[in-house]
Amino acid sequence: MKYLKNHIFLIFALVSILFSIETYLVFNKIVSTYEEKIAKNYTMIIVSKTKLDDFTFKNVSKITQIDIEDSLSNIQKQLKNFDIDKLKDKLPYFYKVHFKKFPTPIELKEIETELLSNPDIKKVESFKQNQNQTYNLLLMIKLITTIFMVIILFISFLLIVKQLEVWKFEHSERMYIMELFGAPFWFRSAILLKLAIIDSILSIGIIFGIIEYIINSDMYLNLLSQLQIEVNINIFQDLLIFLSISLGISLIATFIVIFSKKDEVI
Amino acid sequence: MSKVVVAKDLYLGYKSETIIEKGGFSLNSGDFVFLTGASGSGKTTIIRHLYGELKAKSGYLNIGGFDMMKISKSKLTYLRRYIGIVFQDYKLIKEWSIEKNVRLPLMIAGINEDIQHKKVSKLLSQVKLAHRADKYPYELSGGEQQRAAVIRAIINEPVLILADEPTGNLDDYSAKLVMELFKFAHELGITVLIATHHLPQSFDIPYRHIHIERKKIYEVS
Repeated sequence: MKYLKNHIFLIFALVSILFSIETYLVFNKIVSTYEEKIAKNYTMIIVSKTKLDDFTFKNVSKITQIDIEDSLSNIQKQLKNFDIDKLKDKLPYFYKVHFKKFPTPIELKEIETELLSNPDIKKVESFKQNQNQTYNLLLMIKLITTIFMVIILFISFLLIVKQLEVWKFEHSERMYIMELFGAPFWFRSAILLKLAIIDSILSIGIIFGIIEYIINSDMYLNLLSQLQIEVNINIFQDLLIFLSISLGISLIATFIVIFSKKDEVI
Repeated sequence: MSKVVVAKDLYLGYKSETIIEKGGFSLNSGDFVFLTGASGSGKTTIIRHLYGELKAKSGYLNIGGFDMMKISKSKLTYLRRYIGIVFQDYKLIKEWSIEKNVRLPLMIAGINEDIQHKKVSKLLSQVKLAHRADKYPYELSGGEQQRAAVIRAIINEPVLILADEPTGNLDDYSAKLVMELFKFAHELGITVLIATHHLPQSFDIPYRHIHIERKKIYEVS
């Protein structure tokens, strides 16, 4: 109980930091998956006087010619006397542009301008308005998660500073006494380092529990099914990130306490 | 007889304030020395310089062969393993039991844990504190805490014991018991320096008396 009382702030701060980072990672994964999904469905239409060959653009996965044979045969059925071959000769070429990744409005404008600079290209239809709305929504989600992470990191930092002051007060006398009797650095610091490592492991355990609960919750699963995407979140893959952040923060905090004490004594 | 402490032309103090001017004295191995002086005369200042918490302004101070004017942090840490320190306010680690507090110098020295426990148990029994071994400092009287602190200073048989007003907070009976422990340390061949306001009225072993007055150190007897 006393241990928990003394370490609750650090554990809480570490859990908050890890949670905000994991939330950021999960949101980014969801947004990227959703971007890929809408990128697959999204195409730009090009109308060209001539056939387009060797056409390469950054972020463009492929350009396919639109088959108009079906449409022409429908016309032929309705207008029996119509000379379809004549129409065929006069019609331009239609192309669909597929993207690897959902293009940003700037990328879209660049492609559009470059395409229109080709005198053979008569028209480019990017369906810009629909595309921009969706993309801006994704950008907003990304921005909100980033702001959320920064706020949490800031508040957590303040909590850690507060905890450091408590630790300094609690451990300085013991470390001073040990130093008086010739205890080496590792001996004086052993208890604090042990506590820091335990705090980090506890925080990782807590965050694993929270994230596992969330990603298996109905609310989260419903959200993904509504977006019609599948996001594979393997929390164990983030273990290394968690471990380095958690241990890094708690060890830095510990060394601040240890070294600030050292300066006072000698 | 080898010299444990040699001090010559020492200027001691804090920042702009000089407490001891041109002070000199030496302690031989096995000496029992009382350091007296009025409040604020510089007894604690001398003790703090002897265990390396403060650095002299100028002069020469050698402890156990180490030049304290040039000593590095790592060498100071090493030297302190051969110095036992006793404070007026005991300075026991409050989160540790009395047994663990007394064991501290042995733990630092890396002595086998079984030997540590045996040695502590023997010494605590000798000072009638064995039944208090598992207690925490706040559960003991001042006299008991100071006896534990002296045992902690003695346990690894250091070369030098420095005591700063060790009986200042104790009643006469407790003070007498604590002084008996210093005598025991002396019997083990340890050099003992005790800073105190007043000399004990009767003391049955030969001792030296060093006195501080008007920033100077005098050998009285």
